[in-house]
Amino acid sequence: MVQADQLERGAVGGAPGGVPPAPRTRAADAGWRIILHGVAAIGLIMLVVPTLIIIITSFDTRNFIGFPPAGFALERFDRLVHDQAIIDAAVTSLSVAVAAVLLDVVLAVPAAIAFVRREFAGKSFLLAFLQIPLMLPGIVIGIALLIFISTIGIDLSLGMLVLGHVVLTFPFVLRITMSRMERADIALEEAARNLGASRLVVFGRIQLPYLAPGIVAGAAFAFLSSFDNLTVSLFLTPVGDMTLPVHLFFLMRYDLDPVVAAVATVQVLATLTIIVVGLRVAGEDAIVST
Amino acid sequence: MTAAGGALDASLIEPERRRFRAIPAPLLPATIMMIILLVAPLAVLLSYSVLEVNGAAVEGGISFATFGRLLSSRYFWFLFGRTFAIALGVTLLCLVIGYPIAFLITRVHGWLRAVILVAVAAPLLTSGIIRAFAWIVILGKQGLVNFALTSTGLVDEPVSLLFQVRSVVIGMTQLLLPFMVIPLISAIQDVPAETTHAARNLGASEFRIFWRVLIPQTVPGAAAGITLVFALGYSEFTLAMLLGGGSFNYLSIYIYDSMTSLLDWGRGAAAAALLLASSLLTVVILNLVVRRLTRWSRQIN
Repeated sequence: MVQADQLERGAVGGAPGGVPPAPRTRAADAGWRIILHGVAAIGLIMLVVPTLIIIITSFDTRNFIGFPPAGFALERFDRLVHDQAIIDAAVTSLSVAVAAVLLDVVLAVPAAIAFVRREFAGKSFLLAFLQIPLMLPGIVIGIALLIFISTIGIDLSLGMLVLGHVVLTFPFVLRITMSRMERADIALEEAARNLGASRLVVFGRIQLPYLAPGIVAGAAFAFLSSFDNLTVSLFLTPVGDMTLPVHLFFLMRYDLDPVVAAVATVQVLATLTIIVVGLRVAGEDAIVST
Repeated sequence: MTAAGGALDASLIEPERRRFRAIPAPLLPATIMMIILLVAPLAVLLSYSVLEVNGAAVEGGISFATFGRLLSSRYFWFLFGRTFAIALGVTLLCLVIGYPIAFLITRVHGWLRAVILVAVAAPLLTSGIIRAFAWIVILGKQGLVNFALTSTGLVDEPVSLLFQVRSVVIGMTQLLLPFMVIPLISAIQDVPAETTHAARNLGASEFRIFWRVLIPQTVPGAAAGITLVFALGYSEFTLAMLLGGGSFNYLSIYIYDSMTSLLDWGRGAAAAALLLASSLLTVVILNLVVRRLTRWSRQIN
């Protein structure tokens, strides 16, 4: 109501010549709508086209990159399944992502419960602190870890790479699990405690089952961002054990291998599957908290 | 057992009451991990920028020579300005394209709305590398745009569109657009429908409603999008590297080159510190400007 009043003053008082005649307004309205919808349409096309182009290109028959395709075949996919370097890199990425997500969950779930259920000095500071990686550029985290590792004299290894990915992806699991925990019914936990259940039983029988969908959503998110990560992996990947994004990065930098199109298509479909399955399991949680 | 139970009960009964308590044990592993794997590495990174570093090894005590070398270099300032200008340009493009998309989403219903939402979220299915590849297919000499241009006879020879500033700007705009649209959608949804209805009934044109009602009330949402897009664009590496081509330079590429091919870790660390500091400073300034704008838009209303 207040806003409507303010608006009245703004709209009428602001127009020096009063309200313009209706027909002109209508024409101007139509023109403005066309501009707005036109820009929106260009933006939406721009958003969707690259993904579609990749999928179409992956069926091209030529041995160079171009559009439109000269024909449709599965040649590029055939090359992909016989390309040992890409398969090795994909396996490395998969193992790193799975290991990082497992560590994330182990670290984040108890932390999320404690953040929601306990009061302590400096709580909001600690919560902000644990989310710092979300605000730092990946390249800064990557080179900081590289310099750190070499300063304390450790060789690059897949283990260190996993730890680097944990730093990056832990905040996702923490945030999504916390937002589910915030909606958990404390009365259930109190009742169990009053009936003599230990903290561990409350955790295992009440909190964990309730949190499961949130954990799955967080884990899916963390998995995808680990699997796609380039800027940290680029500095921490051990020689001879490249992750898929690092391998693709070098493939694209030095010669544009068309097999990348097939990899990209497989990755788009896999990501889509993870998101759909994640949403099924997690319900609205995934959307609410991200 | 009883002590732990007592502590739990107290926190259940008086959640508001603030008293000093140590960090709960379940938070310790995560906190210790972040200190070892984030705070310590960042401290080492900063120390590398103020120590005498030769190649990848520390050779001497504190010296601000590396910063001095960077800040007195004309090329570095050019690089700074260029990175800043490109990130700002991408942010403005995202704002100009993002507003109409978010506006459209709040005005349509049913399947059309679902389709548009999917379109906004679809790019999140692909990583930066894959999107760079897609833009090479679209903008390359044999690509989609050149095919359209040559087959319609607009140009005779394929034009080079890739590996320039504009291909990086296009790629980055597409990469970061969802981060602008998503906060804008919720901001526009929060504008009460009565205000736009009232404005329309009072005879305001759609143009006026957009600029005088919608934009002023969605400044905070736009600020969230602007901050996010600028910060991400300013430090973007993948697209700058893959769509910019060999001669393209960006702050993140400069850091990467210092760390890898040039093996000048002191310079890499100093440039990274400057990247972080300038990014933070810009975000703070942006937020101050937005706060001013919010006050100003309230006055207008």
